[in-house]
Amino acid sequence: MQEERLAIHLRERPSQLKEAKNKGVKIIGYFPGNYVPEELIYASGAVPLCLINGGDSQPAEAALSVVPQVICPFARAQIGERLLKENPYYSMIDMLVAPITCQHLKKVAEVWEYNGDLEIFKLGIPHQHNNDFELEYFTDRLRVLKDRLQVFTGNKITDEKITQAIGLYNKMRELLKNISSLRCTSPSLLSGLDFVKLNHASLNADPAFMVDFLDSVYHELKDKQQVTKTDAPRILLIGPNIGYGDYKILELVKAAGGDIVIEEICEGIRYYWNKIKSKDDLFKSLAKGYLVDRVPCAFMRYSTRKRFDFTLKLVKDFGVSGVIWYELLCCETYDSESYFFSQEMGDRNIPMLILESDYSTVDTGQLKTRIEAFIEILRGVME
Amino acid sequence: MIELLKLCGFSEQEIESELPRVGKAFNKLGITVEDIERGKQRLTKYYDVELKGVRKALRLIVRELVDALLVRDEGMKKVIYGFMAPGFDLLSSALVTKSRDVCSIHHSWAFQIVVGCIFGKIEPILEEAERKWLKAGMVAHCANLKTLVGPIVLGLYPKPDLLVTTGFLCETSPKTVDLFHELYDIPVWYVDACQDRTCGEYPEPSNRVASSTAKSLERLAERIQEVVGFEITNDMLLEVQDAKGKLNEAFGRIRGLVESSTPLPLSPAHENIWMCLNVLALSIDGITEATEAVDTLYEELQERVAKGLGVVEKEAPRVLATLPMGQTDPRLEYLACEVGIAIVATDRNLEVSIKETSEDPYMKFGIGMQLGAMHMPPAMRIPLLIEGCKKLNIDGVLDRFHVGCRAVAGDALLIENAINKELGIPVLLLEWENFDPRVYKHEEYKRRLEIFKTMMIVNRQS
Amino acid sequence: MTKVVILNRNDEICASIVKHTGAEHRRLANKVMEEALQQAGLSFDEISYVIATGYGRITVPFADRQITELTCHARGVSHYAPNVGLAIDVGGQDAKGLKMNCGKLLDFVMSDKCAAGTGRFLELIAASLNLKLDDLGKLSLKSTSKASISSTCTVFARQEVVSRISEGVPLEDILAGIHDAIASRVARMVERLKIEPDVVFTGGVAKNIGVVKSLETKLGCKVLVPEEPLLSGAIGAALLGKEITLKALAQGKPVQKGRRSLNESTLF
Repeated sequence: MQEERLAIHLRERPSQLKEAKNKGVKIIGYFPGNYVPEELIYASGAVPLCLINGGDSQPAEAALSVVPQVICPFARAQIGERLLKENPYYSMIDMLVAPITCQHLKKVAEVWEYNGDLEIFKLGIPHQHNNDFELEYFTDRLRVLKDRLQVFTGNKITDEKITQAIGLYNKMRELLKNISSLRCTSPSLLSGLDFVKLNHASLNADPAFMVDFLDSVYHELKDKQQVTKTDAPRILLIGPNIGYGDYKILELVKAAGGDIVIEEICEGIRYYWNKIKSKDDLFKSLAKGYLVDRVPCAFMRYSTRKRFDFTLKLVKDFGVSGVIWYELLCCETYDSESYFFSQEMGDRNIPMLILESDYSTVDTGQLKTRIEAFIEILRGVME
Repeated sequence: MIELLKLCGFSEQEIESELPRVGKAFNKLGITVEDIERGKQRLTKYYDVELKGVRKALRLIVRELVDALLVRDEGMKKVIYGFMAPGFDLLSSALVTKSRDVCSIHHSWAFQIVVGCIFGKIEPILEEAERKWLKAGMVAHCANLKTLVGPIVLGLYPKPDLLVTTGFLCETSPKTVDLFHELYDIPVWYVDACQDRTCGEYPEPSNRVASSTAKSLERLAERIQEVVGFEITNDMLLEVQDAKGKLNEAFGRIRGLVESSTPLPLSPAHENIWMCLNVLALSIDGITEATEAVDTLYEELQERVAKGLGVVEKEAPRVLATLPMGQTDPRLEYLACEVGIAIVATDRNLEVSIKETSEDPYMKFGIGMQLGAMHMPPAMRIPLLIEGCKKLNIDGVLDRFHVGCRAVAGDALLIENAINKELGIPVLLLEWENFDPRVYKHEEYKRRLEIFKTMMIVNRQS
Repeated sequence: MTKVVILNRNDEICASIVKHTGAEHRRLANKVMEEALQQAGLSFDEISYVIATGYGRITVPFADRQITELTCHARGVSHYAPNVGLAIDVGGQDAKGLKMNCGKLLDFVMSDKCAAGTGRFLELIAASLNLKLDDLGKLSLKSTSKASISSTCTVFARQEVVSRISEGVPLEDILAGIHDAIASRVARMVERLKIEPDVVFTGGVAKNIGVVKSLETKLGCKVLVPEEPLLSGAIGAALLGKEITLKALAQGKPVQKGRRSLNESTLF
């Protein structure tokens, strides 16, 4: 029932947006990573649309005519989607707010800037915030973004509208966190695959609809909740973004009999774990909320230990027996970090499996073998 | 070893007094008698060591490496390393001018030239780093970083009091430095600036970005002051910038001569030596010495030009290469000369010119960091490349892309398409690793360079 | 290659087959099984449990269960060497390293994306030198001065072999370089797991004495090779099948079996 409702909404969403566009509403795309305050885009009356497609080898390969293979498959998928013009979202955006985070996503913004066919706002993300001026820089850029959005949309962005938007997105975060956390006691309620799909839906759906929908999902699941004992190994999945459509690994883990009970991924936990606390100055609040008060992505300075400690706590709180690290080929920050994590997890006798992929279709068999072997290690072959 | 040091510009007296130190340093590196022989052969083959200017430059480079390896042995109290850290080199020079108790080295330039280019022995260092967190193969991490990780892990660079890097165009280095902090307990610091200039904010440098870069460097200066215990004043920095400005002007004169003369008077392999000279931890006196070396070379090159001498045939096709020259291996540049191609310039030196800069040394740095083509997104880098090609009468572009450097490699295909379209000159797209000699495939590169040369000659004629 | 092992209750091998089945392993699986049954003098119904493992494990229609080759190899190797700390298996298409302790598999690495560091590398080199694969190892041991061959890519290695031949480098030295290259590759792969004796080496490439010696030098310790290095996966699978059956019987539970029929499988 619920699934149907969501499926219909998502199916109709592109035409809904086209209609809105015809009426003069702006569609504003942004990259995942959790450094772009959707609240500002929403408050301007425009529609925030997260560009996060992945998993399909075709767009990633199509981009090879523009950038070499060393640019990660996710970044290439974004370039490819816009080249192929098959996905309606990528063609309908009027503007891109590009967070300048890792070199790969930065390159996508630069390629589109070079092509010159899209309005781009580069939102500089300070890669550290130990010094006072860095947070100030980000706060200032958010103000400039607001001014630009006002001019672009023709709508005034009042403090009231921003506060309202923060409230709405905070509610979304709260609901996603609550739903996700149900898996702590009842992993069989909702598989990792289903949760990630739900999370992904929230990136393209209408926010108000999504909040309402998540609310009903939460209540429905809460009632079904029971503490069940299964012998399925409890797994934490960690990585950068999981592309919308990149469900191969999640499906393989489920088929092999593992339960992914929590994910440490960009568009997931890093988004919904902490709410934005709005104090007097809304821009300072947004800047602090997005840059400081959440688990950083691996490209941030001093992030390695912070990220490990956060992940270790999740492992303990969610009773995780094994960690699956999923990264895309050529991601230099996650790659380096995986060494650290595997040493530290190894020291604590927490099994960790490192998987790499580049969205190609040929590696499914190889991934299956590794995942199955890992599950066999976790549960012992006898059961 | 004595002959080797003579080829590197050491005087007889200097050899006598320094030989024990050099011997000790080379022992640490595991340099054998065979290596010394090979070093002499490579020096003579790949570099114009008959030119005094080249020898003087090599001397400074060898000296720095020896100092770096013996740093703790010789009781140096304060040791600071920089890596891929423009701006650090300014602070570095200010520090060593002020105090002889501070060792502040910008790794691994000297190491790469001596161990890589001269002795041809950098591969084991790279392999050591690959045993840690840096990968080999198709998704390789930049080998530049491997020449930092390898020596630290092997104990060749003793543990410093501070390790500094920047993240202007690179996430790999800061992440590695973070891992050094976590795994080896080394205090670290980062200098950063957001690369968020958009259209409308080029080509002139942005005040906003300059200001935040300046502040970031200032914080580094404060941190360094804590380590060394004395102040780095603005005047000290301005003095360094002044001296370096003169050094850069001297490079500029050589570059101008190379760009405008045929036959090509100097092999492009030497470009690496200038780049290294620019970032060595030299005191003001040292920078002056370096400037003298470059001036000496300029005179020697002028003589060559007057006599019509060069390293490639006259009227050889003129090539602009992207990226600096190979930094641990001069074979590609040597091969280009053998094949008969004159690499007259690289895009490393393509810059936007500005009328004035700031009086404040940090702002001056912040402004300067925005002028280079390699630091710009393709929307600005490519027009600069095209302009450069036109100005220098370029027949073809060697579009090298260093697979380890995501930021710079990402533009390679855009550059190829743009040059083809706007200028109609041949482009050789070469997948490459600037710091890893293992990628050099002689037969393949020779074939491709020969075809490239033919294409340029044919294109010229038509 | 398809391998079959039939074990009896006392862990003795009643039958063992190693056969090339190429791309038709699905269709030919039952033929190989029939051959094994003939060798053992048994009928199919007398087999208590069948486990399929390896790349084609999903396509064995008469198996009761599929278990990955990593787990099966671990079991097989610990049967041969109970104190195994690191098991290395290099077959025709892939290479694996298994970190083990007290017979348990703790961690693994796999290299299955490229030919370098696998048996395929040696096959290609043997073919280009017009030599028999089985002769490579012995020949390489005759070398006095090992040539340096790149270990990163099969294509480049072959080119280098050709260059060395034209330079007049003796064949044994070139082969020594080749064996060094593949051993380097393998050693690099398993270094991540930490080298702990006993180190056991299995797979087709373990039959090559040149690689074994080279590997011992690289790892700095003795490398044990079982008498039948190609069978450890199948032996392990059979042992696991036995354990599953015995455990179920001990608990008084029925043994979970698959749908069994030894017919030639047709395409989907």
